[in-house]
Amino acid sequence: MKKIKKEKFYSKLNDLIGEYRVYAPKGDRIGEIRNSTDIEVQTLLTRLSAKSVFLPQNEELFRWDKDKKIKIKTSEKKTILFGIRPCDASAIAALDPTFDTKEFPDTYYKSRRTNTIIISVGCNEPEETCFCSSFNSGPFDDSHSDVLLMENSTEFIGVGKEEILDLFGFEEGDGKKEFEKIKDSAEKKVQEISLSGIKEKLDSVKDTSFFKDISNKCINCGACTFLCPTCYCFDIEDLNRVDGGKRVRNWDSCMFKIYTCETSGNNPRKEEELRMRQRIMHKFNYYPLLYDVFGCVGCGRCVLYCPVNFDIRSAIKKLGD
Amino acid sequence: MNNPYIPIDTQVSMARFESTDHSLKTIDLKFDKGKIFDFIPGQFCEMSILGKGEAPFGIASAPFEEFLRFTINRAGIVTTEIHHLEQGDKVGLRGPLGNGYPVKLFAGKNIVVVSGGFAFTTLRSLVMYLLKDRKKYGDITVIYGARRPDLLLYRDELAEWEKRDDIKLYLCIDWKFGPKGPIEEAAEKGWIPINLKKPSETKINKDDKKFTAFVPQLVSAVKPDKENAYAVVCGPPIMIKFTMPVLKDLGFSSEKIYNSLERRMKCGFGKCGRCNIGPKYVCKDGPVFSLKELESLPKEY
Repeated sequence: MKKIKKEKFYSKLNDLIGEYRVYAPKGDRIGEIRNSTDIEVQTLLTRLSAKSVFLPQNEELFRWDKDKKIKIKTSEKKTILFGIRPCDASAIAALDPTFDTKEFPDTYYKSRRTNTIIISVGCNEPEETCFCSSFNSGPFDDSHSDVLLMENSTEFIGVGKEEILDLFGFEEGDGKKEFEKIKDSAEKKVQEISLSGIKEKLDSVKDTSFFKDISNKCINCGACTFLCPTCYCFDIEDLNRVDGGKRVRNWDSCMFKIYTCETSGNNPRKEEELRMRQRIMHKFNYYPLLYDVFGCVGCGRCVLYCPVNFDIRSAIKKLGD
Repeated sequence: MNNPYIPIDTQVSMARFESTDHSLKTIDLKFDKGKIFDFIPGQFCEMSILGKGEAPFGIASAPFEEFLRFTINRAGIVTTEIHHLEQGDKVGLRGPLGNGYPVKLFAGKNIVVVSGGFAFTTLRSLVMYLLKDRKKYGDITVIYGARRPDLLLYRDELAEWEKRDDIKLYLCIDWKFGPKGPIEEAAEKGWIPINLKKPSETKINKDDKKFTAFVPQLVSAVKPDKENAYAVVCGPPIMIKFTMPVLKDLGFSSEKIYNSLERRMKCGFGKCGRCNIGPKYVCKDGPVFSLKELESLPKEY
């Protein structure tokens, strides 16, 4: 196990700003920071997830001038994403099969993904809404981070890629025991829900009455999908200016009625229960079927911030009954 | 790395209104650089008007033709802008997208094409493709209907097909409506009415090509043979809904019926998320599905 004093880590991080673009928890989101003092690593989960680093809420695809000549702005700047939680790191990995494809690769996503180092920090004190352990993961899951840190009062204990640990000047130390202890106590705090056979259970739901029942109180605000670290749906639209314009993509949500509404007025998912079915099925049935990974990482944001207290965990439990 | 969001430049080489009410416009495109891309009939493109947006349209020309043809119904912002295009105008294009019709399966088979309204576009592409290598395929039957004669697409070509003896063409237009529903008489002169109540009992003479009927009724009257045959269906949802049982009654199995679907789309390659039916994306895995595939998916179409 390698260790580093916190001050030393942050001062090295400060040195790297400039050479790297650095993203870290800042207020309610993961934002770009100019100085390590801006970092609010004590936040357990930022309200907005780390997906915005790879898939910004509003992103320019290209712009054109008054002669309609197209210009593409790409940035290949090296990036450090620091202080996200293991669930957010798993969520980014879950986006890869959609965006990093052989045919039609999403160039914007892919260039950010290849240029970003992910340094996540494990969760010493998970929330009541956390259920990451249900997905073969946990508060100290290091599988999708380049480096995973454990925080105590003065130090970071790190595991992961040697070259990154060396870059920051981690030193050999006796942290293993402490690491395991905190890990064990954190893991005990995370609620685990049973997902065994959920795909098959959802397959067997033939009519929509189950979804009608659970979507009764839903007001279709879309907060769950915007805050969800694995929800990636987007809309493409054009913005005009006098001397040209740009084509942008914005986050969209399957919970909105207009999302699937065609110009003719025909809407295949007109009813609320069909949209709820889409959200649940996409996460727990279609996504595992297509890519062998769930479209949910158990971060609990949708549970924490739903204005009508819809709890996806109880929906899953209900399915088991 | 190719950026799939960037449209390529094309130029309008021909633009004409297809229907007398100017609701349908046909435009042919040529590429600014080089020859047009290779594609399979049934694939589609995202046509892009900078500043207005993008919309998906099926390709109506065949791969061997020297232009890309689209016929577009004026419905929203992008289609209205496309209707303003004239010869020489520039337009952006992304494609070809989607899977296309399973043309390889069609070799040596009889093909029954069923279409309604302006959904005929990709089926024109398919029929032109089949006619080019006519000997490779069995009988070709085209059953095609629209509300009025002037809403049938590509009427010059339909008139030529009428004269050919290696393609069986059946056209229909909708009934005239009286206060109590359809009136059992020819909607226009020369368009023979089909038995409204029992369409399958209508006798069709060898030279009859034009009928007054809805598409499902005409299919039921024509009675295409299921032996060694594939049916390809594309049309408005209501037509598809009533045509499927007719084809099934005629003995076509679900594997032998292919459908081309449409959905609201943005990216066109399975990323933006909105066009899925169950785990399948209409843009990437479709738009052509066999009825067998569709039967295994949730009924969201």
